[in-house]
Formats: sequence, C-alpha cells, structure tokens
Amino acid sequence: MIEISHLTKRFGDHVAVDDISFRCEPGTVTGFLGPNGAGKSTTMRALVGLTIPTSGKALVDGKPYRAMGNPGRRMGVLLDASAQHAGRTGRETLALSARMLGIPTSRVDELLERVQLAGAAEKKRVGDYSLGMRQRLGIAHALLGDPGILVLDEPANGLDPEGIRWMRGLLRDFADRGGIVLLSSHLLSEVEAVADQFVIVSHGRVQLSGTKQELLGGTSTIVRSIDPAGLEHALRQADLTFSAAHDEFTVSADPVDVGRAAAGAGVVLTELRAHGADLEQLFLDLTSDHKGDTAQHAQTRQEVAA
Amino acid sequence: MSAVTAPIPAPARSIRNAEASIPMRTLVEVELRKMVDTRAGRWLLIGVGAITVLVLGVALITGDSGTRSFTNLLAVAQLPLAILLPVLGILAATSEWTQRTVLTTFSLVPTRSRVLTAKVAAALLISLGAIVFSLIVAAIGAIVAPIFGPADSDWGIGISTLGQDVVYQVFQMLLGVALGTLLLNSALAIVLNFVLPTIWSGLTGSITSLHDVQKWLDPGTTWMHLVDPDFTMAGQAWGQILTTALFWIALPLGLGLARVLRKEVD
Repeated sequence: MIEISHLTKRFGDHVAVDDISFRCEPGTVTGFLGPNGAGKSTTMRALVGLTIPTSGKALVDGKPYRAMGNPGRRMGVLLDASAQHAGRTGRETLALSARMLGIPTSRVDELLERVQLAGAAEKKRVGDYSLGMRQRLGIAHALLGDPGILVLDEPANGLDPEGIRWMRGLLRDFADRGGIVLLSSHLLSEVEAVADQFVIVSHGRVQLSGTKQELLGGTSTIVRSIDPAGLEHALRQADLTFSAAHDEFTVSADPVDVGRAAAGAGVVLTELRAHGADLEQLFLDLTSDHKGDTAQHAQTRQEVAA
Repeated sequence: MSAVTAPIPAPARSIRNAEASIPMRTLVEVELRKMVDTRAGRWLLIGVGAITVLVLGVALITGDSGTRSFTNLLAVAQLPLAILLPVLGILAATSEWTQRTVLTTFSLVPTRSRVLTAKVAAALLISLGAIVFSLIVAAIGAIVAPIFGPADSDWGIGISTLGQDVVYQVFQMLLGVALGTLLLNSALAIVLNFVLPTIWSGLTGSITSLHDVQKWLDPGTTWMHLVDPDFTMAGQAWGQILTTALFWIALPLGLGLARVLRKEVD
C-alpha cells in the first residue's frame, strides 16, 4: 500500500507540495492528475526518497521507502525516461539494474521482448533512442524486479496511440492481479480509461480525489434565475450545497429538489436542468488558472466526493 | 508489444523479495561495470593503456641502459596511469548527475552513502588493475629492451617500491573521485583535477612563505616522492604524504559526501 499523508515540500519560498494526502490500495490504478508544475513529480520523488519532505510522510507498506533493503523488487519506478546514460545501450541499461536487483538476465530478454526493443534496438545507445523508445525502456525497467507496485511519472509521454493502449492494458492487468499502480499525467484522457481512482492536484494541493464512481456518479443541477440573490437565498434555506459562477448555480441535488426550493421561495427560474458531472470539465475547472470561484467550486465538489 | 502473459506476483512475494539488502559486493561490481560499459569509459581505458605503452616505447628508444631496466620502466609506467585514470574516477562520481542516472541509482539503492562507498571501492579496484597492468607492460618492455640497445637486467623491485606505487595510484585516483563527488560536474572536476594541483604547486613553490605548505600539502611534491626511484622514504615523508591526502582527499570527499546525501535529485 502507498500512503501519502500531509506531505509538504518547500523550496525556499516556493511551496511545491502543500499538505497532500492520499492512499493507493492493492488492485487499484490511481490517476495522479494535474497541470505541469502542480507538484506531482515532487510527490512521487518524495515517495521514493529522492527528495526529503519539509513535513508529512510518504510510506510504502507502512514504512519509508528507504527501509526496504532492495526496494526495486517491491516497487517499480519510472520518474523520467530521459534520465538514462546516453552512452549505454538499452540492453546494458536493463542488465546493470538486473545485476543490482539480483535477478537473472533472462528477465532482461523477456522485458526487451515485451516492450518491443528486442533485436537491433537493444544494441543501440539510449542517446539514439526516440522519446517513445526511452519511455518503453523505462517501463521495462520499472517491471524488471517483478514488483507489486508501479509508480510511473507521465509514462504516456512520447508513446504513440497504440503504445498508450498497450500500456493501459498492461497497467490494468497489473492491478487486476493485485498490484498497486500510481501514474501521473497532465492529460486526463490518458488515464481516464484505466484509473479506478483519481487524485487531482493543482498548485501543490489536492483539489479533488475519489473513485471514478464518486466523482462521476453524483448528479447535479444547473439553475439560473432572473433573481440570483433570491435564488441563492432559497438554496441556502433548503440546505442545498451549491456553487455559483456569475448568475449560474451548480447545485448538488436533483432538479426536482432545486425546483421545489425555488418555487417555495417564489423565485422565477430561467433555466433548470440536470447536469452529469464531466470529469474532463471538472479537471479543466480545477486546474485552470482563473481560480477564485473555481476554488469554491472545488471545495464544493470535494464535499460531494467525501 | 505483446499481450501481458507473465504473472504478476502476489504482493506478498514482492514484499519478501525486497527485504534483503543488496550486498556491497554487488554494488561494487555494478559500479565497476558502469565505469567501463559506456563508450566514453571504454575509450578512456583503451586510451590510457595506449598512452602508457607509448610512453614506455619512448623510454625504450631514447633512454640509456639504466632506463631500459624493468625497475625503471615500472616507475615510468606509473605516471601516465596516475594522471589519466583518475578521470575515470571523476566520471564515476559526476556522470550520474550529469546524465541524471542518479534517479535510477538512488531509487534502487536509497542509502546514498552505500553507493558512494561502492564507487570509491570500484575506483580502488581500477587502481589495483593499473598496477597489474604496469607490471605486465614494464616486464614486456624489459624483455624486448635489448632490441633497442643495451639494457640493465635489473628485475629487483622491493615490496616497498610496489607498495609505494600502489599508494601513489590510489591517492591520485581518490583525489579525482573526491573532486568529482564535491563538484558533481564532469567538465569542471576534470579541469580542476589537472589545473588545481599544478597552480597549487606553482604558488606554494614560488612564494617563500608558503614553502612549508608545499612540503606538507602539495601532492606534486609529497606524492611524487612515492614514485621517485632516487628518493629514500623516511618517517617524515610519510607524514607529509598523509597530510596531503587528508587535505586533498579526505576533506573534499567528506564535503562531497555531505553534499550528495542532502542533494535533491531531479
């Protein structure tokens, strides 16, 4: 199990990670989402012990990562596919780590085969690899120690659509066999199809987290009135959770309850419709830079998710 | 990218597999392999070997009968090895940071001091290899020496001479590793490895008030005694050699270790 609790990391005045908490359980794929610079990579590096948190904890199976004698056998990590020695061949890159992990070279052949780098490609120097090839080498590297946990930072970068589909299958299968997957992306579409739960971060903070069911299952209602102040008052009276953007209200309730509240207060509506949550829109709202009302929006959503 | 067929282990198995620490022997072996498995590393080794042979060749052709002895050829072989091989040690310490492979290395071995220890041990093994290599090429040189002219048949080297050669190679190598660990930048460390001791020798040699510094802290003076066949080692010379090592090896290596243990990896 992966457990991040109240993790905070400051670099001077800059707060890269601000009180982030979440868990990843066996059998699940967690999509760690957010725009570039949101704190995803720093969180993952803290989990692997490459960065020392200012406060908070990042634990693997209840212990710090460095407490494991041979962590590569438990957790496969891909933090940056470009962080490989340009002068080493793809095969040698894997063979070195295999030696370190204490696993046979036959496993190197097996993985080169699996990521389609066997043959001529394995003898090329990594400096001559395309980004997609490096990414595949990195995924092979993460799988080398036959781990039960995979932590992948932007693994879809540079992969072609076929490669992305292949990776999804691999991760889904890995989790279905009881493994734990944590993968980050700045593109929702890459992980939406494979993840069971989402942690959406922006500006170093968790804006929203929950299972796909929790995030997408709840219905909400869009409502407008010629009298926004009156409507707001009515919604408050009815004890409904809502957020407002200009004169448009998004209420976490069925249209019938919203309509009843408005009717009870005698407020005239100009629009009333059910709104199925759209993860894409949600993600964009949460991670776009015009904060202000989106912050409130996020908070409301978090209440829904909780 | 074929369908995934290999079974993913039950979580329990991977937890158990991760328990035992990676043995230091394995870490040293891997670090040694890293020094020679890149094109840069391989060519550096080949280059150093070739230059050493070349220098011996020049000594055989241009020297007198004393120069052509095994004892002297062995001393001659020490210099190119001790000057050039530390570059391998520097690269071992720096290239992980410039190539960003620390990300992988420290992910697999989170206790950074173990990695550093393994690097130092691997560098020492390279130095011992250099001694063996110098013995072999000096012996071959001495055997073929009569082709080039009269040669002394002086095969006698004492254990102390050999010991001094080992210390010389090892100290030069460790100086490189220490500078690399402190600076974590290949180009800068290589340049300073060559330039800094030279400037230091020049300064401490030319300024009268610094003559004592030269006597105790200048590798160009104190360590050269180790490979000078005409110099008779005494207690004070060893003291000077060791203080120089403390200043040029222990100090930068200690500071470098502190830096590496704290440094953010990205």
